[in-house]
Amino acid sequence: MAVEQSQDAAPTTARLAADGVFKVFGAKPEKALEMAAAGVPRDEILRSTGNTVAVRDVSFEVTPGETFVVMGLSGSGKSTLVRCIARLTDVTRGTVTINDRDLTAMNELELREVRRKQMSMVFQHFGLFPHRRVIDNVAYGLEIQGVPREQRHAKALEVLDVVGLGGWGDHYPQQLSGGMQQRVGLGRALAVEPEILFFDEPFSALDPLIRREMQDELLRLQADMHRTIMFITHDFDEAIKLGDRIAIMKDGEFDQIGTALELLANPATDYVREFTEDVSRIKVLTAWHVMKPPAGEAIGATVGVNQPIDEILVVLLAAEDAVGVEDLSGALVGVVDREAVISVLDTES
Amino acid sequence: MTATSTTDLTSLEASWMERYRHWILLAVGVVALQAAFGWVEAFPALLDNTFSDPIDSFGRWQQSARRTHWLFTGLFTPLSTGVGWALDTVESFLLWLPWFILPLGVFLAVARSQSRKVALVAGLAMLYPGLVGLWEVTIDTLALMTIAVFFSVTIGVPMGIWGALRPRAEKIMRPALDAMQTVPAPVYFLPMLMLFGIGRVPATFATVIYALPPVVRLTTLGIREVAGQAVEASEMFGATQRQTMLKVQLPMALPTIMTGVTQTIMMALGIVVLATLLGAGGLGQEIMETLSQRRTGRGIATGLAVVAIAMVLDRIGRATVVTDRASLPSRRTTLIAAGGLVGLTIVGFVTGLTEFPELWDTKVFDPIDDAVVWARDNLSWLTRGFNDIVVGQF
Ligand SMILES: Nc1ncnc2c1ncn2[C@@H]1O[C@H](COP(=O)(O)OP(=O)(O)O)[C@@H](O)[C@H]1O
Ligand SMILES: [Mg+2]
Repeated sequence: MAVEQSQDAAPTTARLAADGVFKVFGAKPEKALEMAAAGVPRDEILRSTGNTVAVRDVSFEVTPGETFVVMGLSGSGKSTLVRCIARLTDVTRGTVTINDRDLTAMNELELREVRRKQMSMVFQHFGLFPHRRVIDNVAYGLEIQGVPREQRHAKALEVLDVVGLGGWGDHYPQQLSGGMQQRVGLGRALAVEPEILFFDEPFSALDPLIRREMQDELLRLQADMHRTIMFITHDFDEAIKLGDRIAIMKDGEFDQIGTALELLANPATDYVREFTEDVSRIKVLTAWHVMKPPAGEAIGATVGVNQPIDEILVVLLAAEDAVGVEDLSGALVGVVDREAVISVLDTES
Repeated sequence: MTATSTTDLTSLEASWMERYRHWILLAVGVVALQAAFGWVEAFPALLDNTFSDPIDSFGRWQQSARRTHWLFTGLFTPLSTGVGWALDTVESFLLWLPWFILPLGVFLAVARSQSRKVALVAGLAMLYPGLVGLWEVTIDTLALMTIAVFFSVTIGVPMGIWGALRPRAEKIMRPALDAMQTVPAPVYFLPMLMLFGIGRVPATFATVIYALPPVVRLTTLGIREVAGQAVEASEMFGATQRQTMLKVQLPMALPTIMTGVTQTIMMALGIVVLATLLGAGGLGQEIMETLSQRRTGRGIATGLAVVAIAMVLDRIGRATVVTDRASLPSRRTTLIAAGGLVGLTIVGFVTGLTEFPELWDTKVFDPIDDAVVWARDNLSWLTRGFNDIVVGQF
């Protein structure tokens, strides 16, 4: 997703950071917090205090235009983390900053302002408004900001085209399939032109085929928009496909943060290794994972930026030397040579 | 450890409160009334061990205070005047309409979101009271119902919202609402009589109190039930609490709220017959009279009119709960239907067809009266033995 293909929207400059974030559920979290900070296991804290430590000492930074994926199994605290970052729930300890402004210290008015102008969220179960037509769902954020009806509808129509729902504006959400409903959710988030987008398992409720389609759609959109994205998933393949960097979360903590290649090459813990082991590298890694910037070398054939390695292999074997990598609009954005592919094959054991 | 014992204590307190809440509320009510009307002015009679004395003296006091005390001149009397005016207005409007507009309007309102058949039955139910000569008394009752339900909803929905936003408020409200429903309705009648005198106004207020709980409760429930993600989605767009309530929570809770309104309507209709005791008139009075005259057939005819009204209001209530918005008629169709009703109203006045035609009246039910009388006179040999046994036992 690091593909440069800037067309309309200027890349965002929004930088998102979390520093030492803890979230403890239950009354009187102080003692549980101390224990969590001291490294006592989650079960033990729950047993002795009755508090659930959902997020423990999480720090990370998402650079402008980056897609940061948090991957973990159910119950590992992913939703709680993204809700803390978006301040749908308050952190127990730690800070969250957007462009160095402390989100955790904002009052209600400042928070509303930031939410209106800078961030949006896409939800796992869509969170659509069933009583509003699709167009009014998409225009909701603008309506909240007080944008006049005609203007916000014009923008909503534009966004509906972008997410592939042109002509569906007058329908109600229930009349749409699951995949289309999530397109509405996506369009609703995009309509306010946020700099930062949060996704909490947005495609988990969809069929595998539709899920892949939506992932491709997001890749395509992000190639144009360059938003700062925090994306939650429990699907490692999805993480690799979408993430510039991936954090593996377990029991409320980050085990490792790295690019897909880094995780695959050097899993930091046994837990991370469990995920990477089963992954077929040549199927999930694509051209953009392994490509280098073009440096004027002779290029025989070209491949698409999102084509997996196993497809590139065939092209590479037939080609004289390196193959070029084209983005969605056909522009040359990189090259893949034999060494790059061999290094991937090396880690496949 | 301390935490556990505190919870035990509170839950113990709660159950104690729960068990005695009716009595507590009654006591609070009595004290509040006394405070309002002033120990100073009226009765230091609480020390008297008879309960009737203070009430008597209160009755006497309010008779004299009616024209002077600020509670009457500033609150109850204007309130009474206003509600009386609203009742008259609604009633004369409904009677002013050509008779066929109301059944037709019911049909269209129900047909908007339900099947033609259901709508037709509802329309016919609205027609029925007219066919048996009960048109005016039915309109009388309908007017009282309309005003009472209007008040119940305008008071009940905000209370329900408050309960949904403030769990503590809900905790206080819930036992009060329970009490309002479990205390037999005539208990309200006495204070209503004292405050508003006799007539349709106190009947309206008694009805409002009795019918209020369902709409409050279901509003709270409906708002609570709204999917958390929809509310969070709204918050994430920077909506204020008010915006989220008006644009997301209330509209999404509407089906549940309307269920509450339908229940409220049914409760109100149930009490309307009893409210005759307060001088409500209408169908209730008709039933009381036929009962006292032992005219069984006419009683049945009137009872059926109450059932018909219940059905009409229930159908209209249900019809407003639209689950499938896409199947609703277009705005144009709705406008045409409304325009048609207005047009027909004019036609009705031009042709002079405004009053319900005298087709039949309750006399069609006289055969039933005759049958009952005949049975009493001729089947006594059958019933006497049974009668003797029962009477003989006591
Ligand atoms: N509101 C809450 N109150 C108490 N515990 C919660 C709450 N929300 C989540 N938890 C707990 O926090 C842990 C992490 O949950 P969650 O963040 O939903 O995980 P994930 O999204 O990774 O499945 C779980 O053990 C869950 O039971
Ligand atoms: Mg989750």
